[in-house]
Amino acid sequence: MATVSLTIDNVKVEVEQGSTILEAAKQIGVNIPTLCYMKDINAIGACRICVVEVQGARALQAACVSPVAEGMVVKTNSAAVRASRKMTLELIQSNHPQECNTCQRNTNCELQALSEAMALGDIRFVRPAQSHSKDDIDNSSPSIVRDPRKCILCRRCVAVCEKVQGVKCISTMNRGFETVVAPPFNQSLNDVNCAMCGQCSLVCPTGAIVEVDDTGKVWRALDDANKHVVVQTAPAVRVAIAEEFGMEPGTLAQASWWQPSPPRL
Amino acid sequence: MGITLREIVYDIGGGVEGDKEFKAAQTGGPSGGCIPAAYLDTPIDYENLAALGSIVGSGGMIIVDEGTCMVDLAKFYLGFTQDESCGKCSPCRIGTKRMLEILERITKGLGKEGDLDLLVELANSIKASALCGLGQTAPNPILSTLRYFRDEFEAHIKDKTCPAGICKMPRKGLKS
Repeated sequence: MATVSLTIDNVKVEVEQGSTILEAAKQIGVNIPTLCYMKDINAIGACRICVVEVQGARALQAACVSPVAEGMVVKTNSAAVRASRKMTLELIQSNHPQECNTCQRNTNCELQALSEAMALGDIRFVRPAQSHSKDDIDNSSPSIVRDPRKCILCRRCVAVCEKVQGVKCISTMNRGFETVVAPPFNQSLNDVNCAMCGQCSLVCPTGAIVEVDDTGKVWRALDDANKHVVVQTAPAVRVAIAEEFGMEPGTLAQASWWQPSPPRL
Repeated sequence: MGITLREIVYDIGGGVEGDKEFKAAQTGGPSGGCIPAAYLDTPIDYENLAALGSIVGSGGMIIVDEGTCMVDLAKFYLGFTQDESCGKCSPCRIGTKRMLEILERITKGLGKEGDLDLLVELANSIKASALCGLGQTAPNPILSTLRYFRDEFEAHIKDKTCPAGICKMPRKGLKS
C-alpha cells in the first residue's frame, strides 16, 4: 500500500495514500473537533468546525474531506484555526434556541459539549434573526419529533436515512439561511414513508430530532386506578434494555420465569 | 490591461454624469472590492487590483459618484451574496446573514460601538473558512469599503449621519 508522509503539528506522520487529514491526525492522537462528520457515512465538509491550516493553501481546509499529500504541513490548533472554529460555532449558536435546560438532549448534546470545550461565551449578535420558529416543529409522528430550530444542518440524519436505512424520507430543502431538513415538500413525518427506525435521532448531534417522550402518558396510566398497567418491550429492545440495567452488552433482558415458547407444530 | 482607471472613466466613459465627483469604482462584481479616487491612476491589471484589495473578477466595473453611500453599497452587494448562499456550510449560510444584519442596523442609525470590529472579525473568518468561492469572497465588499471609507461607517455609527444622504437616519434629538 502506497504511503504519504506529512507533518501535523510538528509531528511527522506516515499514512496510507488517500487518507484524510482527520484520519492522519487521529493516528498520532491529535483530536480535531467535528460536527457534521460521520465515518464512512457523512464526510461533506459542511459544518467547517474541523478546519485546519495547510501550509500554502489559500484558505483553511476541512480536515474531514481533505486528502493528505506528500510533504504537507498541517496545523490543527493555530490561532487562526481556533478563531475560525470559535466564530463558526458562535454563528451556529446564533441560530439555535438557547433553551438547553429544557432540551431533551441537555448534557448529551454535541453542540453543547463543543461550545463548552471551546469556551464559547457570549453570542455577540444583536437580536439575530432565527431561520425557524416553534410553528415549524413537526410532532405528527408517534415516535419522532423534528425541531428545525435546533437543526445545525449537518445532514447526518439525511445520510443515515438514505445510505444506511435506504428509506430516504428526509432531505434538505430550500436554500441559504432558509435551508431545512424535512420530508419532501415539507410534508409531516407521519405522511411520508418514514419507517420510524429512529436512526436519525441517534445520529443527530443536537436536539433537532428526538424520540417522542411519553413519560407523562405512562404516569397518567399508572395513576389511573381503573387501569392495569403492563409493560411490553419490542423484541429487539431487549438487548438495549439489558445494558441499561447493567448487564453485559448483548444480554437479552427477560423475566427469569420466561421461557421461549416451543415451536408450534 | 495596463490602462488606468482614470482613462477608462474619463476618456472612454466620458467622465462622471452631471460633473459630479468620482467616488469609487467597484471592480469584479459583488465579490470584488472598491477602489477610491486616490488610485485613479493605477494601471488596471490582476496584480495591481489585488494589491488594492479588489479583483478583476467578472471584469465588470461599477463607477459611483459622491451621491453614493459606501455603507449602503456594501449592504447592497452583501444582500446579493447572502441571497445566493446555497446553505451547505455554516460560515456562509449564517455568517452572510449576520453581516447583512449588522449593515442593516448601521444604515438605520442603530449601529453601535464594536460593530466594525465584529464585522471585520466575521469577514476574515468567513473568508478563511467558507466551503466555496462564493462564501470566501462574499465579505470582500465589506473589507474593501471599510479599508477606504471607514470614516463613513463611523459617521453612521457615532454621529448617526449618512454623509452621502442616502440612509434614513433617526432625526437628531430623538432617542433611538
